[in-house]
Amino acid sequence: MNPSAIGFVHVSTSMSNQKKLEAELKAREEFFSAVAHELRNPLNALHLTLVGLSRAQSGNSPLPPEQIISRIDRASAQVARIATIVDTMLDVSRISAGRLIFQLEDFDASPVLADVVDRLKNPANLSQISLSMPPSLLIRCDRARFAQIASNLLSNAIQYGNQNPIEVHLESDGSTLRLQVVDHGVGIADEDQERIFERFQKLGKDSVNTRFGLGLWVAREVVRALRGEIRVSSQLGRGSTFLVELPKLCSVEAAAPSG
Amino acid sequence: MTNGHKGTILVVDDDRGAMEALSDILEYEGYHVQRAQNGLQALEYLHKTRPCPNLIILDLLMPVMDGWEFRMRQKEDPELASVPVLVVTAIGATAGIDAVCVLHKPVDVDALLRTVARYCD
Repeated sequence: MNPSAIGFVHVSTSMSNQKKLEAELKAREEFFSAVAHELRNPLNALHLTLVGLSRAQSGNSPLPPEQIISRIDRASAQVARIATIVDTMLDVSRISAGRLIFQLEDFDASPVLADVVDRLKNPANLSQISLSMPPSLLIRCDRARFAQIASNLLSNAIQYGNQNPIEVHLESDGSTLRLQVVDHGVGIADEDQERIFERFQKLGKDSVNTRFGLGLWVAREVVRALRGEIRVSSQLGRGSTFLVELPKLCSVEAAAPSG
Repeated sequence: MTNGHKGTILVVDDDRGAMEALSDILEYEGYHVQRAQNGLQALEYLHKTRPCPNLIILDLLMPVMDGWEFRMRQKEDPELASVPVLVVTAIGATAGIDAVCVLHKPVDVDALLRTVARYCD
């Protein structure tokens, strides 16, 4: 054995580990930066709502009670947004550590989906959302995670749907549940259709114009851990269709994150 | 000034909660507010509306058309180029965006209103 060769292999391995560590630290830094950015938007909306309320009530023309209540409700909605971001951060942490835990139960998916649509179809969203589903669709799954998947897809459709109508379809085919969310908005370029499901995707012309989306990554990881699949078909400028297929009788195992 | 109010402001932001809250503050102060959810909607409004607004309050990260591209297209149009822009953004690096003022979210409302008054009163 040539001692010089052993030395060379050792140095090469150390450099490889060093690069891996640097990449992980950079990824972690980007993650925290992305989260801070995401939190600033609802914090700003909450701040502006409260400042506006304070200025109006201490000025010469205080607001009538119904307008005060409306602004307080809007402030509450921003708090809910912040809570969702925090929950997403925790999900990312759990998924990354392979610690995603499910509580499987038998329930009717139809009213759960209807609740999600009702919640997101508030007056602030100008998109029309139509829902087609059977009167009842019994499944065995994690109720909260099913609602989360539907919510993430519908929120994405609202954000990128350019205020055009959105269709949500729920159906089953034998042993499989199918959830489809269709928007007619900006669409996704072919080269981005896989990247939107990645954790640290950057969509935009350059590194400055970044929009980090964790919702789709979390949705995919949860769907896969439930032994389902999620796919997108899209045309730039025409809109996107997201399709989730889940077994009606879910069984799960702890899954390592896929990326 | 038009229609008895102080001036017209175009607010461009894809965050509806922030848009509504900022519009409430500006309207309470007597300004007329128009809204757009992205740069493309803002350009469409500007092309069909005369006179132009006194000020544009612009978010940077938006779908469809972001703030950078909107600003580039605005400056290319001689009829729109002179409308001043106040940037409100959640990101730290604004990459040299050309604006009369850049404010970071959560916004200092007093600083925003001082800049608005400079261009709209």
